[in-house]
Amino acid sequence: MTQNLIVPLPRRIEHAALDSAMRPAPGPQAFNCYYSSSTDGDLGSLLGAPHYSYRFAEAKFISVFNAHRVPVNKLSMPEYYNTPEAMPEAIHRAGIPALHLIFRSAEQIRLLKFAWNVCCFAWEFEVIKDHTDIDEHPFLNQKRMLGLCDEIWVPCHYTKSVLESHGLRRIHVVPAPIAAPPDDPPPLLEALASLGHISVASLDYNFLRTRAQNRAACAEHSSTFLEYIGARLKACEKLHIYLTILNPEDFRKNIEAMLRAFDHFSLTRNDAVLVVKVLTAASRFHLLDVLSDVIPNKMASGAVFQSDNIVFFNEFLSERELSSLYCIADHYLCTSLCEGQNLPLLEAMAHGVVPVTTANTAMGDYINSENAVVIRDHRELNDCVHLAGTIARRPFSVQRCRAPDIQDALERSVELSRAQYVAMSALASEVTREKFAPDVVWTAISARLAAIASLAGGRTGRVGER
Amino acid sequence: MIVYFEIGPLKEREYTGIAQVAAALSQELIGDPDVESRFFFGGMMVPKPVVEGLLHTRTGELLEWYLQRALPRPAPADLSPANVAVFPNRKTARRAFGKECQIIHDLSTLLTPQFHNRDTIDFHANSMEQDMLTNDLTFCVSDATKSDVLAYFPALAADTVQTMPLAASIDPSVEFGAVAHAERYILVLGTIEPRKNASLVLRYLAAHPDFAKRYRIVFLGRFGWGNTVEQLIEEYGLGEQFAAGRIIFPGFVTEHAKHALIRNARLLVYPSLFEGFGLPLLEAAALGVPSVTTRSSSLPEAGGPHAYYFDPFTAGDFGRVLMQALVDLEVDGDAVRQRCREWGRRFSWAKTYGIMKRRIQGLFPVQEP
Repeated sequence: MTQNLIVPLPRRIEHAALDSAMRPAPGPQAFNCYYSSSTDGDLGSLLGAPHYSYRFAEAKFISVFNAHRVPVNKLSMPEYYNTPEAMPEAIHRAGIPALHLIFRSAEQIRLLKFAWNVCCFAWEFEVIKDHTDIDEHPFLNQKRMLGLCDEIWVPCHYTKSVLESHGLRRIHVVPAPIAAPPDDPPPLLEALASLGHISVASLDYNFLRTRAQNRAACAEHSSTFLEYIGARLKACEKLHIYLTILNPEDFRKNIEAMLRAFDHFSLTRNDAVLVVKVLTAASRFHLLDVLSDVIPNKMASGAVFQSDNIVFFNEFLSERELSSLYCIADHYLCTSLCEGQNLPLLEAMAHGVVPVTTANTAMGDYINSENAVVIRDHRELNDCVHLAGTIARRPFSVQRCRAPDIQDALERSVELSRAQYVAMSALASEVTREKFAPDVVWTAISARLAAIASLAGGRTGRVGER
Repeated sequence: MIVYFEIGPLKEREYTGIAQVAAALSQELIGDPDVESRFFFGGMMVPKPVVEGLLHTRTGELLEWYLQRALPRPAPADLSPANVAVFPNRKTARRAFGKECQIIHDLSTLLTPQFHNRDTIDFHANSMEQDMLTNDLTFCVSDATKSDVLAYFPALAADTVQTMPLAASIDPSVEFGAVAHAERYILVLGTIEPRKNASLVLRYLAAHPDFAKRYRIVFLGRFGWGNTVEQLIEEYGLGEQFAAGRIIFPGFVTEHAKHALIRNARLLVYPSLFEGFGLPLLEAAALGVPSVTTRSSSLPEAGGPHAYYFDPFTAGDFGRVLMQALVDLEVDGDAVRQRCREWGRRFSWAKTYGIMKRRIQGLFPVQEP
């Protein structure tokens, strides 16, 4: 009806079949690059859960495009654009194919129909939802949604194997890049000073108290970071600082086992402290609410917990302050059941922090006994209804470490000799450079885009095979 | 071949949107001497005189009256494989007829759930996949909707999905309502709800308070959901213009009144962020009124080459395009209006019905003797 206006688009696969005359030279510059963001992804909250991790991965991917001066434009509604002609001229070079990176969970995938759609998908469970019940929202079927994309970029080989085991194809491991630490990392005291103003508090919780009483108890254990560390340094010659960064509402993090293990460990090692940076916006949650409400809700009923050796904070940190935080840490503690990539762990390793960590799922790509103190974990049937994997609606296993496993690893970590620590630290930063440095990731992205440019020119069938 | 047409949409109190499409196609079916047609609602047959009454009164009240009193007569009336059912909206039965066809208006409940309330999403989106998988033919009201259907439901065979553009139903008497020296006003059409994006115009009016002095702004459409008119006026600080009657919200009006308002408007603004077709653009074109609209989804297909398009995500683009349209109208308004009319004449319900009929007949190959 409107042939003069609209490029006929009978089938999306045919849209991307580029005319040979338009075929670009391979490489990122050969595309109009766009992305749809998780920050615009609250599309009715089908799963009723926010997707924090996508935001971090997205920021890192976009930064690597920007660093190479490849413009990549955010589309808040990719479904808005039916044809290339609908794109504003300012962000669309005519005659150039389009690439669309999707940083959203599966049910929120929206295609840019004339583009090569790449879903940057993180998933850390052995099952995905691959069926649609009668009269169920079709977008809840992760397999069908991922299959709509031309290809899928995953951050680790574990996710690749899971998706392949569900029959999905064209899956490529392209992790989010991890920037190198600054060339001039701040000296320890300077790093401490730059974090000194941060408000920290310990967890003091007793299920027999009211919420207000627990809040008041935690308030009694609050101070600034400088006061806290200063007091601890007075009591011991060398302080072992363990760091972890986590969203306390994320059940993958195994937070209760972590806290119990560290509490037990630090009963005999008063020179060890665990600093927990809590990824809940300070604007949304007061730290004392996190301690008196959010974290206790993740613990077994009847919990009683008090440890001055564990402090929490939830203030926003600048890149520089975050780097300072890594610089003062001796170890990064990760007790996760599963991870899609685990960006904070990798950032810590890039700073030479020796991890005490589980080595399951994504960590399998870069954690070994040479560069980390590995926490034993055990494969067991998941019993937590709050894990995202439950949307698959069938049983699945996780690799769970228990408090004794964590305590054992903590004991081993503190007994590392200086030479052992230095060697591990070097290997930890080396593995991040080798596998996750922005230039390494950019090389992988460029290779994919070159392949896409050649594939798009000659393909005749649907690429996202189902 | 007997065509069973599901008239669920005709139960609506007012025939706009999907009900308007169902009414126009019912009318064509009744008037087609070559096709035996029957009508049903859900699982119940509805006699043709009742349907004719509905098309005459253009309100679903008569259907409700009939359904409350009629003896149930299950649809289809017979189980011949030569039956074909046409569902102009959500299917009320699957695999109950020899062949089944469905009209898909848009995938907005799937693709833009942020613009719908939960009940609407559950009603439309959840059934969509199984509905379409049991269709022999899926009609889409635009190429944009067709490409959405094929992109998001790749299990459907492309040759079973057919574009069937809609048409405007303009009562010729609207022309008699043309007012030569009407006060200049801009008509902003659409239900007051986030998807229709009236707030973009309000934001513009807040930033350019002088504009409402030159043109009265009429926001025409019922309230859907989201911020109320009062909340929107307060949010954008437009209380003064609203109190002075420079910005008005008449609410819902009849189709005839709507067309009269379009006919006398300087231009139509239709800032919607997602549509399946965009009938108001075609109605405006048929009435010789240019439109300022977005390039979203199907709108360029309905608006044609002479509509004025802006990018709602680019700051300032709406104002720039609005001014361009107003200048063109000042400079050569007759030519602008003529081009609109020519575009509008390309569409008719007879053409729409013709596409549907041809494809349905194709489902029943003529048997060699």
